[in-house]
Amino acid sequence: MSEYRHIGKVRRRQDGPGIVTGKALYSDDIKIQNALYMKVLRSPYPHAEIVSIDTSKAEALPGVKSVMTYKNAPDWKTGIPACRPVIGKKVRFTGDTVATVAAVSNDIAEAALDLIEVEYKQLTPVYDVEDAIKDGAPEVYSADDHIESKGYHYDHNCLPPGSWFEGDDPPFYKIQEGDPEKGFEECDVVVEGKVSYDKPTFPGAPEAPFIAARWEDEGHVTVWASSQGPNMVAKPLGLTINAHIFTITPNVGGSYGNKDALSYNAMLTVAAAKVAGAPIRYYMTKEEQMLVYERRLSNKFIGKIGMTKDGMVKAIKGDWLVSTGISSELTQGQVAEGLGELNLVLNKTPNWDVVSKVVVSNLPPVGIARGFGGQELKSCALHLLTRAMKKLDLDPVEVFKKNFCSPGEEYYWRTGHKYRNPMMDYGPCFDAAAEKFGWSRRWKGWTTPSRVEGNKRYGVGFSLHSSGDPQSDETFAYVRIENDQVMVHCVTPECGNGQRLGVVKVAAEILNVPMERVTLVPCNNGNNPADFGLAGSRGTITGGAAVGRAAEAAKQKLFEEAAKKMGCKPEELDTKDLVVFKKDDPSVSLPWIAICPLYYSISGTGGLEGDFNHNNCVMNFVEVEVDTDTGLVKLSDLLSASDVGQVVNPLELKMQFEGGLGSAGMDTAQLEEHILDPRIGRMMTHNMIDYKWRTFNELPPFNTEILESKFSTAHPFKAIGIGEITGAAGPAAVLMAVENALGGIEINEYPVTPDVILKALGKA
Amino acid sequence: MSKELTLKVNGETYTFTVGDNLGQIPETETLVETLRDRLGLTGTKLSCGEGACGCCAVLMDGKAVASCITLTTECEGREIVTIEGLSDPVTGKLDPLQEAFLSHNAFQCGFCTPGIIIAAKSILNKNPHPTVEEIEEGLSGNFCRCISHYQVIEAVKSIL
Repeated sequence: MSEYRHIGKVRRRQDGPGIVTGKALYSDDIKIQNALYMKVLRSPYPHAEIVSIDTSKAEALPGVKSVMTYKNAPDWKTGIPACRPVIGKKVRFTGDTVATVAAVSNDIAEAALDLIEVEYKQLTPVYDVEDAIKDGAPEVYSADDHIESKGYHYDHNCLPPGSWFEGDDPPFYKIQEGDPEKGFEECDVVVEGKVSYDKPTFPGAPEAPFIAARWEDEGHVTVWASSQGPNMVAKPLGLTINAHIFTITPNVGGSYGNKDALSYNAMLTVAAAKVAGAPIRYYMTKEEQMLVYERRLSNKFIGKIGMTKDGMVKAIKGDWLVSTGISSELTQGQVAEGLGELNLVLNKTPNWDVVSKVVVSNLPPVGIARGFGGQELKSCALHLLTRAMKKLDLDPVEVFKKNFCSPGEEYYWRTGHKYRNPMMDYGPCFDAAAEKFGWSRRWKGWTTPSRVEGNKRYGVGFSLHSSGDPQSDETFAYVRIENDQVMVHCVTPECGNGQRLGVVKVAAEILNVPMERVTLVPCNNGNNPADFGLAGSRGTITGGAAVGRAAEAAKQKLFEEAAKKMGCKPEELDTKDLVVFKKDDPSVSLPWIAICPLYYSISGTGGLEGDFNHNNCVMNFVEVEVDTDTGLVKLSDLLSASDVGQVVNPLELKMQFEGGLGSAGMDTAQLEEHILDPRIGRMMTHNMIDYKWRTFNELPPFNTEILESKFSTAHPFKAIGIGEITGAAGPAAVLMAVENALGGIEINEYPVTPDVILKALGKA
Repeated sequence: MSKELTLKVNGETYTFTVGDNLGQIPETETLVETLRDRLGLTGTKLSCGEGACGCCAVLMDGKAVASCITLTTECEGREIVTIEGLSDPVTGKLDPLQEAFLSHNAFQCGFCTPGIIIAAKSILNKNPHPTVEEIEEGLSGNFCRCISHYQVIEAVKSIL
């Protein structure tokens, strides 16, 4: 049992009553006076040039107020590096923007799209990363686009490496250290191969991306965004367009990292509002979200890994080919973190030569998704690693435990520098989780299924994920005490993970008040100080630390003012339930309202600089059932585990673990994929029936193992966040389990749909 | 003479005329549009727009329907109940299902929650004592991406 009043206790989310009664407001629920509705005309071709475009008939349709094409769109660009225009003369994927129509209703805007006449000159498309980097491949961009960053230039469909993650330092796109060739010579086993996790997948927030924009004057724009980080929307776009952007994020209907900056949608809507001279709202349809919005990155790893017979990985070498579609939202940043995440898991490996390429193609753009580079790379590289474990007949849990980053060890993180894990020891978590799952009983070796029942074969698998982000980046907060209430200012959106509840608990715990006395100010960047946004599981520590420090500062001032009135020293005082009292004689007391009367504020500020020295870790144990007649793979038993330092929200934590199944997480191993029709460059799976995902009648048993080792993080109660990564290791664990179920048959691609299984069994 | 349309929503009666003039309900208007845009009942969410995901579910004569693929003009004389109509209109007292969802924290982002509560209500209207399998099957047309399913099942079970 938690020794705290609120931390670690089940408490209702303050927005809960609104959610269950339908009163909670999401972006599209908000009325914006005089706002026009926007619809987008999209390219029917994967690669083409616009020869001519005539919008006159659309403009003449009653109710249409404005049409934007490449001819009148502002000359802004987004992406890393900036290369995606608001609207270009060239269209680069099926669904690329050709024109926007702003009208008094969605229906009229949509009808007007049909009246725009466009003549295209088709160009040859390219989709696959390996095809795209070949000499003579169709080029998505050209030298004339001047795509350059840190001295690197676009070349053969490869984007320059690096992002703002490294600041002014060189790009972090490869790990080269030691002597891999010598390392391989010292190994007992060296495995080579290619593993592909390259089907486009769809994080799929139930609420599609929403942006509304209203220009207040030449230099100020108000933006409503269904984003998990108001500053992620406001800051980069503000710099691009040289305006101050006030971003409001109401309740967010799911994000999973994917509705973070909303960069292109925000730029497009803000541009259209400028052209129209009126506020514009743009709520993507589900089909648009599935076909043209930012998806999870897809990738292949072609490499070589060497291991000694004690299970230590001695050398790794490989090409990491990352498909980013037509543009990068932060793909190079995902590459940097993916390398760091591989380095955390293979932390004892002295010899590295892993080099990435970020490749553009005529596929829809890649954006941010939880797992952020590491899920995708490790689904490939760690699967290749299992070949070495199999040859040496080693237990995978033991191998991963030995190779994982121990306290005191260093790892690479997103700047390209190394950071030290000061004290987090996840060793006990490996043991406790394996014990609870019954790993030693269920794992019978690489080529022996866990059990067989008729045509159903069961196998088990394991993998893990660790990220250096949980204490990353700056966060600031203010706490105001006003008579009998506490106001908390910290940019914390609610996109499902209960993070607003977490920071309210911190303030209530430190000021020792009932939670009902704490109000967290609505999430926007106008009433709250700067913060990076919810990303990389950082909200628990960073929001908790900033709010905690602000609450402590406010409490200190409260005691100073009370001490003057009470004729004692501040350090002699304590507070509970809105009363300040002397620690040695609680009968000597003063209510808050006497210290801080009506129309009086006592405020404290708090901040956290952020670092990359606090890595979290989630382990996924899975059992799968493979039907050898139909090829159908089902997850039949799951256990996810972590040491979270200190539980803040017990139910929300359990649900974050379970959430690892969805949002293009664990289920991308066997269920989720977009299927491309290469003739038209369009995903055939553009609706919620054809894109498969988990439903209520397909729930596997799901257990968790949660340790609380009270880590010395900046969180005032020693917690560390894990939400982002709960499903990231899932695909690799599932593929290991499927091979185990099939007695060691090797599969090198995801997802393992029935056709893949039957092919592997020689039945198709 | 325009055709009149009478809608009964959450116990209130609304009269509209059907037609293509400004302010009239066109034949093509879906129920979710009428509820959200005309009546301000934004608790009903539009997500997939093709009847697949359940976010827009409302009760029609006690049975859950997808309001994104229901034409408003087909609702003449029907009793429509949205998420806003589940709690007591006078006292504001929550329906036991809503209370169970709150006490079990049976939501994360909450966007699909109104539709799930409506679908669960529909299941219980038809059969007050469903098995867990019947609840899971009955909710299989409601998609939740956050994976709140486990807590939803616990919440529904708790009031059986």
